[in-house]
Amino acid sequence: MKKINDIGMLGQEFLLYLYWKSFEDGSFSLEHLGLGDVNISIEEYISLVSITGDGYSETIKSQDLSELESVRDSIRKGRLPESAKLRINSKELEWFFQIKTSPLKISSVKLPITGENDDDKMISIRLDATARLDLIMKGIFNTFLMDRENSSYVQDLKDFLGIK
Amino acid sequence: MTKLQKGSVSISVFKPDKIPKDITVVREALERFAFKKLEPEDVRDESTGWVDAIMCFDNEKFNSLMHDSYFVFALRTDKYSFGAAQIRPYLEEALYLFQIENNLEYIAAQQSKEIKEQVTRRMKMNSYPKTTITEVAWDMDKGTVYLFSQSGQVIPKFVDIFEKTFETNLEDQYLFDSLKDMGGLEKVGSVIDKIWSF
Repeated sequence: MKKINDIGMLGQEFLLYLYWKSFEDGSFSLEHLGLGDVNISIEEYISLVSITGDGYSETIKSQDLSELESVRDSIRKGRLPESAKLRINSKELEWFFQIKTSPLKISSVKLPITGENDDDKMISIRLDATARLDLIMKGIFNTFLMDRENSSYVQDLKDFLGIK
Repeated sequence: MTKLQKGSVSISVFKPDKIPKDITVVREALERFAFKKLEPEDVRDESTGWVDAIMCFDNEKFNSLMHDSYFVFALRTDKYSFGAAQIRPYLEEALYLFQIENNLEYIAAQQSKEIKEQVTRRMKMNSYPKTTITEVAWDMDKGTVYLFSQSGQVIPKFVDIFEKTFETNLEDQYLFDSLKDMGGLEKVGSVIDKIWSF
């Protein structure tokens, strides 16, 4: 059976969810996966694309995107996130990468810097960090799927965006 | 410097339907499909095969194969490629000299083809092929295969040679794979439609 490789607008909704959570405290508990607490923040840039069919798109750059009211203004007008830079912290490790929604995938991952000089150890650490990030992102996506099952999810998101 | 040691990475994740029973099997399989150096006189313009992940000239020993629970190796592709504009001056010169030397008014198509092949061979002698090296890490505990690339040119080559080498089928892994446990895309529906209506 051929697997789906694109989830359409669910990818944009996922990035919108990450932006929303980043605006709040950005923390996720992935204890059930043995990953502990994870913190996310959207940094450097976020690209928004209109879903109204007017062809509008914009890229907003700032070190503190969560605090920028202009991002929420734009989203309110139906411009959904298409790509952004995401920072993840977990157990003193940090990843920084690009996330795109169509198709949904992460790229250009800066793996945690450990200061390790031994090549063999460095490879082992980077491989573990790669596998761990894969698990973290899958865990966050699962949390997103669970959260959106909540009956108050749509209203909570509307409240966050300031949509009546 | 290998991506396993330094720099930003872009990763594609796969799951094979079986894993080899030990390192000997992996080593033998890699040797069977090891990279074969491309020589200028080769008829082939491209060669793809496995090399060691750290010493990408090593296509025999694979000394860096084992890292904890991972097998690490790399896919190497060497390719000679000359664009039309790159070939043109040398080809035009060769055709012109052939015409003068043989006192010809025009050159037959077959002869032109042979001259072009000679020119291309000469260009190969004076250049190196373009090399692409892509690292692979295969987690033996979880069975997951990490390819350190998202290139649309590299992935099909990798899948093809990996499946032949290890006689297995690879399935793409996505971060949204759990969606199927929720009943798929149709079942989860859209929240966007409930917020924006245009």
